[in-house]
Amino acid sequence: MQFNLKLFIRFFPQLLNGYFATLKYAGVGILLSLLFGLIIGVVLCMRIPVITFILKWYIDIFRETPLIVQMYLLYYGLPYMGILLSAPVAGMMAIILNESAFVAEIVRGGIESINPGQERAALSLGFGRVHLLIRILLPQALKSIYPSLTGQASYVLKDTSLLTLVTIVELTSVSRYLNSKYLIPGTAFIGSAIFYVVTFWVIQFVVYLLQRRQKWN
Amino acid sequence: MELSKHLITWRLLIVQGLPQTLKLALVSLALSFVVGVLLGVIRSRKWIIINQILGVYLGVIRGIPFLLLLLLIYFTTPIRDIFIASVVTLTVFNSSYISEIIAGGIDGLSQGQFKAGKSLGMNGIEVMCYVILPQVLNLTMPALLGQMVILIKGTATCSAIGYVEITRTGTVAMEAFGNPQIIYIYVMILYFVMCHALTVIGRKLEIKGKLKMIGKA
Repeated sequence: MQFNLKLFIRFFPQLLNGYFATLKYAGVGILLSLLFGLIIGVVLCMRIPVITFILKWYIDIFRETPLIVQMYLLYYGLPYMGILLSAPVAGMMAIILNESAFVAEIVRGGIESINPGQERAALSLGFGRVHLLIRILLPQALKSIYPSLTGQASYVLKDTSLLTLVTIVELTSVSRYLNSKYLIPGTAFIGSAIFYVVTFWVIQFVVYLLQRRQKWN
Repeated sequence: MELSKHLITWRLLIVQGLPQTLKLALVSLALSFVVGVLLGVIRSRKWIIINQILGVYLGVIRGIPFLLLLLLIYFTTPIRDIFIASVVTLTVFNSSYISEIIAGGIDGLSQGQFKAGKSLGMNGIEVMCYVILPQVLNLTMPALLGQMVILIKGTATCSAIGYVEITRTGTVAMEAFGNPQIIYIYVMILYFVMCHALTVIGRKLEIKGKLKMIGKA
């Protein structure tokens, strides 16, 4: 049951295929959840009465329930309500809804931590609420929150492993398949763990480089 | 779905699922807290070689998705009991995050605390237990409660290797009654109540801590 390099090399192409699928899902997930999270975070800060209330509940609900249950709800539940989606769409929808809630909370925190003087100065210069948020507050907030945002990116990468539970083929599914077919748990699971850890470290390294560059500036 | 089936579902979730989730969460919480604090204290000491090894270990654990770690521990180690495998995984996973929180808290305290303790004739362990850790735990309580929420959400993933808790009970009820959209919403409600309670306590503590810092409580 130990890691076997020969077997690992033999099944490397299959794991690599799974890895590419994982990268694809992670890339889509990161881009869309960043986009929606930014939009939701900014809208949240505009303090529009009803919408803010709804968005706050959305964020609380999706942050404080397990992703796996959200995935099951969308994957098994939507067809019962007459909405037929393919497995990848339903699974990715769960990941994106979940992660944009986290991103929105980070963005809101970043915007609220900016000195209120900035807001007053912009208002006195005749900026509207929307312009103020997008042109003045968001750029400043992004500077201080992007480490947490890149951290969230690595969470999306790790979340995609749960897609295997709603029948989507990606890295974890490939290793589960290899294990059930050839009974090689060590090679299959440690092999795919290597892929995940290397990708995670690459992301961490990019964050480190970005932070160092910011310090230089 | 008729009313009786709703009632049976709730009864299943609360009588069968909830105690198992709580058991798993509490046992792994206690273990990961102890292990996490120990690792955090060791990491803050900055012993050269041990710190390097710990850094690599924590980096690896944090790079692996929770589900894959669960499969890895369940299939490649001699542990054959689902409950013990779940506890070990949750402990390994969460203690790595808790250790980072604790190490950060210890680094945040001023060196004067150590020196004052030493000057009162305490040895290193006594200074840690009576001077440093009580302050650190107080300061990091909001972050630790956040980690508890992540732990509770993690227990849902343990249903993937067949541990019967709330999510698994929900799946069983779904297989019997259909209507996954209703049953998984019930499951989400249960998780939401548990996690939201912790989050609210965390927010209250955070506000209290801030008031203490400016000397108003």
